[in-house]
Amino acid sequence: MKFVTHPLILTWLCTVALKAAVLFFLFRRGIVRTYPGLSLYLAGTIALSLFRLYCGIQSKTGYHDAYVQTQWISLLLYGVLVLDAYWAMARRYPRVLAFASAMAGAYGTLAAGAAWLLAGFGVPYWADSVANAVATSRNVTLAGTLFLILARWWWFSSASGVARNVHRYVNGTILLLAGQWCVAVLFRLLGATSANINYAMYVITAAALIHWIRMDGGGEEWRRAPAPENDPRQSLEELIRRSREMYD
Amino acid sequence: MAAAHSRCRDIELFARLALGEELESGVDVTALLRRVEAMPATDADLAWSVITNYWRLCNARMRHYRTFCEDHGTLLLLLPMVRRAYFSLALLAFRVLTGLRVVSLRRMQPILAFLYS
Repeated sequence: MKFVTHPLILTWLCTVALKAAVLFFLFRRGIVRTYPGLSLYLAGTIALSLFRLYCGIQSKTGYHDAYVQTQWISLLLYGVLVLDAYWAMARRYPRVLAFASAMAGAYGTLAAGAAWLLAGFGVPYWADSVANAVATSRNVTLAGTLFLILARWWWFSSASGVARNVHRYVNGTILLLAGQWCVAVLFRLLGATSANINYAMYVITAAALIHWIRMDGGGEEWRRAPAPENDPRQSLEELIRRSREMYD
Repeated sequence: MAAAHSRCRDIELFARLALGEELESGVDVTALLRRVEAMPATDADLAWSVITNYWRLCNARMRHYRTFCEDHGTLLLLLPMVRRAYFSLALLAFRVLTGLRVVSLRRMQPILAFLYS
């Protein structure tokens, strides 16, 4: 049981418990289904953490092996989280799917290109056996951060403003991804030990969770009410009504 | 008499554009363009005034149009309109700064009509 009683693992389990608390409060406030990506991310990472913990208890290299083998699930969950945060900003507007998809494609290309250009930055300092896994992970977090910063710049500048929950959701997600990239790259360049880097990762996760736990049932209101659907028949009827008023 | 009046009107419009004043809806933009095309290139202050005010006009109008598009589900129309607006700004800047008479501002007419619609 030495694995479980290590302070690093105990801190990790604290963040897992905090994730469960966030999921519970989102459920209690009735907004779990409003943000399906966030709920899936939380549930998925909790399940993944418990599985890795189980593997770590089973054998000495269990955690390490499980981390490398299940890393694709973490990356998939990051993708789900980023796309859901993006859609939370865009979905308020009527018939926005085509524009939002085109913009996501353009911003995604820019972000992936920037991450690809920076992919080598700081890598020679890594000598861990999980260096490849960490490198992949931090490239994904950088691309996600840049993508969300661009999207945030566009959607938050709308005259409609942004609902408080969306504000917290997007800010928390950017904080999580950007923080993880900074810790994985900059802390490593500054010569931090693996243990300290892991502690910093948990602090970053907790900071993002604090953003998400503040999402509440009253935070769904936008500054401007959504416009009614632009139904051509209704517009025609409105035009006829106005014409009658003018001529009567 | 009518021609002189029209010319005075053109000068007034151009001065108002240079000063960044709001123009009324449906103004005759061809007259405005004639004034800009006749402007001497040596007057750098006036040229910069026109460029900066046109830049502000484009920004304000595009922001307004964006809100309209967001409300009516036509955001896909925003991008070509933004491209036309800022292309026309580049064209205007090039024309008034270089004073090259061969560069026609006729291409600006549709977007200018839109900006003042």
